[in-house]
Amino acid sequence: MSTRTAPMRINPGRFVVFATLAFAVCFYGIPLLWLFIAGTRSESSLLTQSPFALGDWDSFARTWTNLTTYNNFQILTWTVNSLIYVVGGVLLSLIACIPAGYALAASEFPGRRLVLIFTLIAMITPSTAVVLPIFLELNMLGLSNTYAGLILASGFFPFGVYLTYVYFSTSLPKGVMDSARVDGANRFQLFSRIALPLARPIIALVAFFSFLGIWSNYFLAFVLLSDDKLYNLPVGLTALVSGSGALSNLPSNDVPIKKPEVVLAAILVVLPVLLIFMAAQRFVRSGMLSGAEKG
Amino acid sequence: MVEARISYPPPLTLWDRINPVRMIGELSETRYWMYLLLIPSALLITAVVIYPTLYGMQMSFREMRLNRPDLGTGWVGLKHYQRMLTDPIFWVSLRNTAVWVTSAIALEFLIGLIAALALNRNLPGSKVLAVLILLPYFLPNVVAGHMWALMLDPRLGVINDLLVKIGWLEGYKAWFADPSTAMAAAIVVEAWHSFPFFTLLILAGLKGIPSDLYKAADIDGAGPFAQLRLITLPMLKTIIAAAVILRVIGLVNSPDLLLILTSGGPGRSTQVLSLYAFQTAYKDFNFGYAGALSVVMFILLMGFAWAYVRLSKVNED
Repeated sequence: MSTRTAPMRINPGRFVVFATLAFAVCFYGIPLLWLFIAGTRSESSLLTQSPFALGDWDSFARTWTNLTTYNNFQILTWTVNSLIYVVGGVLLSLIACIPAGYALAASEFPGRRLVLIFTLIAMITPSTAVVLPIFLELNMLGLSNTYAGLILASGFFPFGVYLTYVYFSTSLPKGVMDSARVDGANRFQLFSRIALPLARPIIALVAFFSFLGIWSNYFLAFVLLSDDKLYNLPVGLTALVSGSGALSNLPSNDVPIKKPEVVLAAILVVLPVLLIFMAAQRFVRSGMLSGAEKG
Repeated sequence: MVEARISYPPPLTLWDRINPVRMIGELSETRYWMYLLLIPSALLITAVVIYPTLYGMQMSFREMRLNRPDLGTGWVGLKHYQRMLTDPIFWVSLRNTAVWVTSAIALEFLIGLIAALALNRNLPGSKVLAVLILLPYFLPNVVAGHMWALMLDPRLGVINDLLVKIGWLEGYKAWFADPSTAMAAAIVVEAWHSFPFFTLLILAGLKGIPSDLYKAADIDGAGPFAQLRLITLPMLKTIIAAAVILRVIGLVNSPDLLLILTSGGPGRSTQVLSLYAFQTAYKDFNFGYAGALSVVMFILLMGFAWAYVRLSKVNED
């Protein structure tokens, strides 16, 4: 914590600080507030009433029915798909990250520096540069337009390797591990019995970040999936918008997806993220700060 | 070495030799146990980073048009790269990429710095504010994009409404339909979405500056701006550089937001390299040329990646 404390009176400095924070909160709060309010309103209310007029329960219920029943409950399929991608991808990234981070932190071995550098390079490899070859690779393996294909492509999270490495290099109890070794534990028992139980916070952090990346994944999913039954929510949302013309202000058509439905779909995409972020913000912030200080 | 005490282990059966559990147990007692733990990530990194990168590079030297199988997939040498030199769209995209990346990052850095300095004062409520400020960074790109598309909408847009009310605008404006405002509007959306990244990193850096420096500066009579210029910014140099490099890489890489907001239009006014490569592949089905564009981007970014690796000092520990 900073040790600089401002005196408790109104001075220009404090005013500037408060003004800045107030601005930042408006800058964020107003758009988000608008988004959530807009979900409760009808199309005509959006067009004619003031931007922050509250809708009513009836129009919200109608919007909800329009959205969920559209195209044979399509949005529910996409939600289930998103869940499948997230669970598969997060598991895969944990299986890859945690042991690798442990190996890097717990031992010196030939090639260790190389692995670390590779991890950093993988962290920053341009996704657009690899997305076309990945598309062709998955085609070749017969995995294009499958759940497994997108899970494989999105399940590697090099930043997680790095976070785990940073975490283990400061938190492994060398003494306990040495005595366990003397007592005859092999290396993998050390990993599974001592390191893994200790690693709960970092497992949660890596899972959180990879959840976030995969849940919000748009570009990769957009490129790799062409079957709309396999879309995840972000791609589905975009398909909904462009397919219904809800945002293009064309003369009205009979597709029931209008602006309120689009807003509601957007809320559906964002709500799990917000809830999980709220639940996890404490350790996420401290975890990110420690990562930032180290790197 | 005591010769008389050598005892021979029982001969291995075939199952013993190939039993994976036994092999892992044995390997775990050798010097090379750590490589086993690296296998899952090594396989994945090969499948989704190394192989695709190399494949993309060789693709850029080949003819590869999915809609013209008659042309085959023979080697064409530097043909794609030569075409790039005289391709006006490539140069427009390169210029747009530069504008997009530098202005968005400058804006994000400025807002991020101010917010971090404000949060660092530890005023009542600043913890709650820190969480609130961080939150939108975790909004999916797609949602941020559609939300702003709605808010900047020429008919129902909240932003238009506000600007008209305070008298900055004569009438509602279609921000993304006008080539002269589309890029600026997209940059505002991007800055809105990503400045917390800077806030977070700068805040972490601020906590690490010894307060003695500020006390000494106070005694010497240095004002807040002099302190910012002479103490805070120089002490944060490394963290700012790292944040800028990571954002450059992120922005050059991800066409998501522009894909949703404008698809590069109107005209070519928001066409950036990543978008151009993507459209070359999926609209023109010219994977060879798209590969060459990606390689150029890759090389540009590797410069930044190299700078980042140097900064984070991996090669020193």
